[in-house]
Amino acid sequence: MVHLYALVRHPAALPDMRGIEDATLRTVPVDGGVEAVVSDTPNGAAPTENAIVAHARVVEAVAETNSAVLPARFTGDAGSDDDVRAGVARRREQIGAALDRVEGCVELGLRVLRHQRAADAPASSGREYMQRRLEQVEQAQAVARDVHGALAGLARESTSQVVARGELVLTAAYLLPKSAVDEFRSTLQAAEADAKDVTLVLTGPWPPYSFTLIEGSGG
Amino acid sequence: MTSASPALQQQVTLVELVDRVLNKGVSLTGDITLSVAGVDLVYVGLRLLLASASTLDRLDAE
Amino acid sequence: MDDLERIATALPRRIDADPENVEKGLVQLVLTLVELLRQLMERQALRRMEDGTLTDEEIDRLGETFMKLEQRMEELKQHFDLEDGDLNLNLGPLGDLL
Repeated sequence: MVHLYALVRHPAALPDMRGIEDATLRTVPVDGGVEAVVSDTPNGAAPTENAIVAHARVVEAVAETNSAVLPARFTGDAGSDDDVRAGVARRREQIGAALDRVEGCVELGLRVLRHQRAADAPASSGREYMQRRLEQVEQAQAVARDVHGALAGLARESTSQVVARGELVLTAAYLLPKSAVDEFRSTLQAAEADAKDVTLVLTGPWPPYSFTLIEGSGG
Repeated sequence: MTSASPALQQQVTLVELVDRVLNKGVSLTGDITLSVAGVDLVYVGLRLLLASASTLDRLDAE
Repeated sequence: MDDLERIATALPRRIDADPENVEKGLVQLVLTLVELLRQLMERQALRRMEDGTLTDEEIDRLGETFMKLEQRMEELKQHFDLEDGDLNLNLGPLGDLL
């Protein structure tokens, strides 16, 4: 059984490190100039804390030595080398296009949190409840528009979800060239200063997990 | 950076890490999925451990 | 520190893998799905309210139903010792429906 970490272009530059359960990393060459970075997991890999961290480390290192990387989702078992080959061959065009899309890019993650007022007394009627909820959603959408609007323009691609649940207003991910990260951070700081009562939490740079296949969505 | 405290930053980073590794990224084989209203919801799996602060310490140290 | 804790509870946490907590994990999953459906329905209702395709009486009835569901959810969460953060599995594409 193999565990898949990422797909890269041929020739793959393997990082000097071990994978899950200290297994050796190797590549499976696939059609169309793509290589799969894998390691062997005889009993399959359960998503334990150690395994998740090991997986993330390998993906990170592969992204450092290869300019175009498609991070793989952690699944229990990718089957055999042949299964991996077949899986990639099946989606060869999409994978090729995806590699082009993420070339030289990293992903930044954003969560927008909004400070909530202390809880009001429970709504006195169904109508009042609905009214309040509507206001909350509209406010969240306005904040999301302002913040995400300022940032999406700087990115090659982005995904966003307005959540409007409790304090979490928006989660978003942005695909941008490595060279654009600093400017992005400055714009983010400015956006936070402009928006009222929000805390912006930026994470990354990540390898482009959220932009692997279909536009704007992961996987 | 932004106004997020280091502790909040750390916690969010942890959540985002696990989220990316388990729910994002390319998948060549079928995962266990649940479907709701015709949309696939990836099932995380009950065997997942809560990642602790020690994980981040390890990450920072290396 | 208070601020931090308040905000941290808004973030999703993960299910504990300890086998003794597997039952709790199942409850967590079920309640998450119920909560998800509740929010989907609520959001749909809010959209129709915005569009003006609901009567005042319908808005009132829907609001009361959602309030009751929310209260019931609180009771269930308390009973199983779960917090808001425990029910926030990543929604993936479903998040777009909200």
